[in-house]
Amino acid sequence: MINNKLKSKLLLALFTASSCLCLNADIVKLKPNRDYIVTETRPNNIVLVDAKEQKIVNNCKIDESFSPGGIVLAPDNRHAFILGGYGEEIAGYNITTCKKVFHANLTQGDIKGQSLAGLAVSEDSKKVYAIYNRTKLGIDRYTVLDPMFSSFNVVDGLNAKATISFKIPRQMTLMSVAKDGTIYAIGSALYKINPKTKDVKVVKKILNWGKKNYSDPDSAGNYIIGQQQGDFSTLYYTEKYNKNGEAIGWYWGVTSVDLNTNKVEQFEFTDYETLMFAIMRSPKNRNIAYGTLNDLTKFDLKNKKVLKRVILDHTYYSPAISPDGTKVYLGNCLNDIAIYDAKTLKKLGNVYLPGDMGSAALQVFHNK
Amino acid sequence: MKNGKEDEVLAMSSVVGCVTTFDPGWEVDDEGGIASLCQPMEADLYGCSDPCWWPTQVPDTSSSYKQWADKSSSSKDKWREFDNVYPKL
Repeated sequence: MINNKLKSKLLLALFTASSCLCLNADIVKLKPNRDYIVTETRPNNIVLVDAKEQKIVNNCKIDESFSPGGIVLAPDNRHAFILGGYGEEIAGYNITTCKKVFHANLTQGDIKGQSLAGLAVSEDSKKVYAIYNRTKLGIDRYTVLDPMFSSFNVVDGLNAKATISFKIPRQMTLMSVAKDGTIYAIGSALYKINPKTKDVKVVKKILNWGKKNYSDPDSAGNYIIGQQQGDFSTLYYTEKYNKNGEAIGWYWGVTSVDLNTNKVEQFEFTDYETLMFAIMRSPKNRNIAYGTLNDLTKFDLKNKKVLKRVILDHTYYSPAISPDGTKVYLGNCLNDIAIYDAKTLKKLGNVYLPGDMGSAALQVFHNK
Repeated sequence: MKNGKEDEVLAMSSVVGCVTTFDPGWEVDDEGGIASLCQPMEADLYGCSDPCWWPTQVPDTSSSYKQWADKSSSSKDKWREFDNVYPKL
């Protein structure tokens, strides 16, 4: 009898343990030594793509409204965090089990908080950072408040509240995190944000940069790309003047952080020949960069040369480069990912998705 | 104006409604041509509405027309499903 009771307990314990294991087990087993792409599509999907087989291997349904469609992959390569609810919500999902692990509202009471693309995850994947604009919604008026930076603990789960919040300068749109944990944000300048000291420091001016013989640059950073590749780069364009003050041409430049070394650079690298919305430097050779909108262009940054340019089937707002630097993935527009050879820019294929990506860019990782 | 100059008006100072960014329409690009317009035009609908990029050309997804595209997961193939294209009267 005692033995039977003990056996029952053991069986129950085993069943419970196995149930837990089943609940926690991956629905999708990632294959070793392979690249995967994660993105978000309409109406409510986080899509996991096997880049080698060029096919979707998981499709997680999210609870939040799609818009604005920002997505960032945590450095653990297992959790994706999205900006949903029209920029008022952040949610986190396991990309292999689809389990929802995190949710936070940027809107609190009558203060509406909205973020365009200001989402990042710490290098240890334990914290989610957000930059967002705030407006107090009164009965008869709206009052614009200061934008805010907030830090959340992922472990706080589905009802997470910000553990740290403080005011930041206006016009920040994007963030990324360096390997040593430094948080960079970009907008009208490149900033460093320190959540512990609440210090926001300008690392490199963009608007009002005061560069002699150049106009103020126009710069846009809208797409969350590059943390997996160790690159945080945004484009600017500027007009150059000769010594008499006469305009002599428009140039593309890049404001860039090497997230592995924290090296910051800002320089022009080519004539303004075609419009680009985003650029990424190769993780294997930072002198090589790929820019895109209606064409895909490969640049030699140091020698200021266009190495190759190909016309695309349709607009792709942003590129993402494979960790080994051999492929360029294009996405962030309509419902397909285009794959190109990074050396030749020969097209290798398309992956068709269940809906449009809108503002959601591609997150690429290598599963060891 | 008290000090003889006007404060700079900064875009993106508010996100109550898509009213703080201003760009030209889809008619011509920044050089007066069409090569730099998004292609096809439908490809740009969500790119403009999701981040409130071109507020006068696409619905205000920040406050007034959040569900305008809920019936269409594909802007290229199902643009007829947009609420603002064929509104129900």
